[in-house]
Amino acid sequence: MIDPGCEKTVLIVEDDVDTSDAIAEVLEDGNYRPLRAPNGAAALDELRAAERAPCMILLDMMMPVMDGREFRAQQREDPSLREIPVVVLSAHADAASYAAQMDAEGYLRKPIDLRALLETVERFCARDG
Amino acid sequence: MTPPEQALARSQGITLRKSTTHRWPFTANDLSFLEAVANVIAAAIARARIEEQLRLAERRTVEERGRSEQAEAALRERDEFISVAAHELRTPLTALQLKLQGLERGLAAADPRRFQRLEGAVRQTERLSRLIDRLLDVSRIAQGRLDLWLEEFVKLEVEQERVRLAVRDQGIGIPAEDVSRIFGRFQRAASIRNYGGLGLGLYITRYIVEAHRGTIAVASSVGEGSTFCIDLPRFGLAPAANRNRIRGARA
Repeated sequence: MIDPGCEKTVLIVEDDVDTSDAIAEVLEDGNYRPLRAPNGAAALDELRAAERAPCMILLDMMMPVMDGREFRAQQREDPSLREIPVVVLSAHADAASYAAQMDAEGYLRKPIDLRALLETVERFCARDG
Repeated sequence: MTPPEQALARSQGITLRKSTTHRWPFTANDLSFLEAVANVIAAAIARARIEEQLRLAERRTVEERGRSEQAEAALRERDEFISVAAHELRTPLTALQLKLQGLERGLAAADPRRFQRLEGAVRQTERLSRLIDRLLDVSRIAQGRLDLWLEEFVKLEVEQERVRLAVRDQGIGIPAEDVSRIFGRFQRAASIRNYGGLGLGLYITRYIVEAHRGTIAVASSVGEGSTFCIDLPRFGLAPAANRNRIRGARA
């Protein structure tokens, strides 16, 4: 199970700085606590160093160093990380099938709609005891 | 000519004439020997001709295959380009749209005038986003859905003398009073508010079809769709007088 004390924390894994900024700003406005990583490898480091797991991960697909697919594969192999829900962010028309292949909890198509983003984040953070 | 001579004459162009100046006239033995030689030569020539034809046919097949492979590679490259371009366009749009929508949300109550201006910007990013979606849809159709589409909506009948092509859609249909003018230049049956386009597509199609000595017609019922039928001759195409004019129309 997810740590009940995830405290509205959301990890954004996204290489495009402006996109990552924009998501973080919107989440801050909604009183969430965004964490950020520019690629899959940095995200794994961030998660392993964190005191508690975030409520969810917003995961971009195409990133340098380690892409979304590889991150997800490594995350699922790590017992301490595998329960954290992942929502895939993708500009590709096949975002839904990517999410299914990666066994992700959901997906958001880029360009991301603000309302859809907030609804999705709320759904996972609401699990927070 | 004697029968053996006639036989020789028949053999693939090898002919033999009785020489009047020759000191030793041919005996029957000579002639049958020569006939045998001529037959061997004729067989060799026939064989060489067939081999040459086979070689030519093979070369044509290889060339055609090469051309179609080139065309397929060009199509793949184009589709790949459209797909990557659409993907790259969405990345900046994501940041832009989220930032604008975030600002819009914050301003709604506090500053109605600025909110209104921002609303316009948000609308335009959403419009751009829809345009990119459509661009990607087109590239996806080209990437392989076309076969399915062709199977369902396009029928081709090839007869001895004619080829008939029927293309069916499930669109809004064309009212009977508009059918006669839709093949004209800048003619549209539907309002430009609802459907884009210059009104040139069917005009250009008609020109191309007529340049190939064919005809185009449409059967349509409003609300259900239209079927366009193109009828073309298979053979005996004379150079069409209006070919250059078509090029002009296409440009």
